[in-house]
Amino acid sequence: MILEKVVIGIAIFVSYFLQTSVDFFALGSIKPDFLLILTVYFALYRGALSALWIGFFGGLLQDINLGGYTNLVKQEMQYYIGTSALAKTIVGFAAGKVARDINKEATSLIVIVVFFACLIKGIIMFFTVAIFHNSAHAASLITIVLPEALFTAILSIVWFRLLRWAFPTVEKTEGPRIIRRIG
Amino acid sequence: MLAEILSRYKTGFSLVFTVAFSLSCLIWKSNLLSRTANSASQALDFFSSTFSTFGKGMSRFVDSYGTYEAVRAERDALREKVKSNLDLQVELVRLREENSKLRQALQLPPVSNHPVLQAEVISQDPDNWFRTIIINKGSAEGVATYMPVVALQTVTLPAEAGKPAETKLVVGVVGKVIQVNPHSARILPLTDQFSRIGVTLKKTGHWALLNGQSPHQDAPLLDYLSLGVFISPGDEIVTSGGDGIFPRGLPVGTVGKRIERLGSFQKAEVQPTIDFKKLDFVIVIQKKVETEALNFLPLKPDTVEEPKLSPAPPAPKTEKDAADEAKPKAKADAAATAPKPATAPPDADSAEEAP
Repeated sequence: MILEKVVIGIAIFVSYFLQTSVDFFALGSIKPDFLLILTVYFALYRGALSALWIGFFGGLLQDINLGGYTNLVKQEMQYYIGTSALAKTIVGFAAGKVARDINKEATSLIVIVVFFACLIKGIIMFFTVAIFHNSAHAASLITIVLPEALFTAILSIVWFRLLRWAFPTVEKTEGPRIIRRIG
Repeated sequence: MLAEILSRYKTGFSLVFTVAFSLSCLIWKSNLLSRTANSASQALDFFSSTFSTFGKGMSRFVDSYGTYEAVRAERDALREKVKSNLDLQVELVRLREENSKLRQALQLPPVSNHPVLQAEVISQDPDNWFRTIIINKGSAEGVATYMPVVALQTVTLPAEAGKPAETKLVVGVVGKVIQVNPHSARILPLTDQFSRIGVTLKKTGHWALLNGQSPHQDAPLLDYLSLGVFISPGDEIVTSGGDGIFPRGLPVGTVGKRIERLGSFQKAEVQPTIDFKKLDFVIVIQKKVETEALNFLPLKPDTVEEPKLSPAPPAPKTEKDAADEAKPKAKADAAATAPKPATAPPDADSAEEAP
């Protein structure tokens, strides 16, 4: 149990570092959201509770990396904490509640779930940035949110296979859960 | 009992807690939770640095042939540069001496040369919404907020009619330092939507403002350029030094193809000199911010003092005025020497002065 949590923690950090430090996966100026794929993976296999916490911690790491800016009027540092954390938490919870019982063997279904999860995350982030940081442009929905959702969804085909290999125990718990539900 | 309720509704409680945490940090952007969470950034920067080195190593391995070619081109460009620099250095010494003599003659302040510090880019923003860059040098190495950051890159010019392709080194503005940790610092690049840099059109000397644009646009926008100035694509833009942060004359970019006229000003897209996708190393110019320029910025209501009106300077007195003044003064002196009425309070004067 504890070992699994440690492995999940490592997976969060690896996903975070892949997003921040390696430009290998960037397509032009668009980067895929590995942390969101991890969140959706746990939403599908473990449910809303695991996914919302993974989304929260992953988003928090991203927000810490964003740092802050000095508000010259108030003369204090203002941070971006909460921007990604809120979006990923809500998406993790919603994916766990809505898409938990989909057929996980169907790649097309997984791609669709990841696409919509990324799209909703982008829309939540758009409103968060617009409301709390006054810096969102409506065009971002077409130029950032949509390409990011498409790219992340396509990459999730490979990434889900990697995650299945990395977390075999997560899949094993799926069988008894379905049996319990049917029973 | 409480443990039972928590365990039964743990998903609901978890959701409420995480959403409340996020919202409180978003509403109060510099509260204790935000500051505590952000203090972990130093540790993250350390791991980012390690991971970045590993990632760059992988990329280099994958692009080893391309890297070899790039290194060879850079070596050739540097050799050419060294040759031309030898002549330039002699010329530079002569011009510097001449400049200092002329500045002395004109009573202008001396030009200061700021020390520089090379740093490696260890991390870039994790999502597509913001664009800050993190470097591996911080306050321990002498980096401070608002220090300007530039970069040196090789640029390959395409072959033209009769001219072969040419590789040359360019220096360009990257941005400014906005946050400093002991061993890392965050740079706000000129392409970020919050970036504002005072610039000059090199060929005419007109001042303008360079604004970063929204995250989906890579080219910053040249704004507030007077309508009377004729600009064309390819015109060079350098820092004006008017913002108190960047030294004057640093190359920023060139005017792009999109030029718009709006009201009394014109706007133009700018192609930055530096390619931000190839940014591995940067140079921090250790120039302390000129605080006099920043003193205009804080508009906090409680720091604004009400203007104190100084009394008007007295008009020059004529002989008649002096005689008129002397009469009431003599009357007042006479009244002061007369005995006070018994009903008057003993300290009436001091009572009037009290608030």
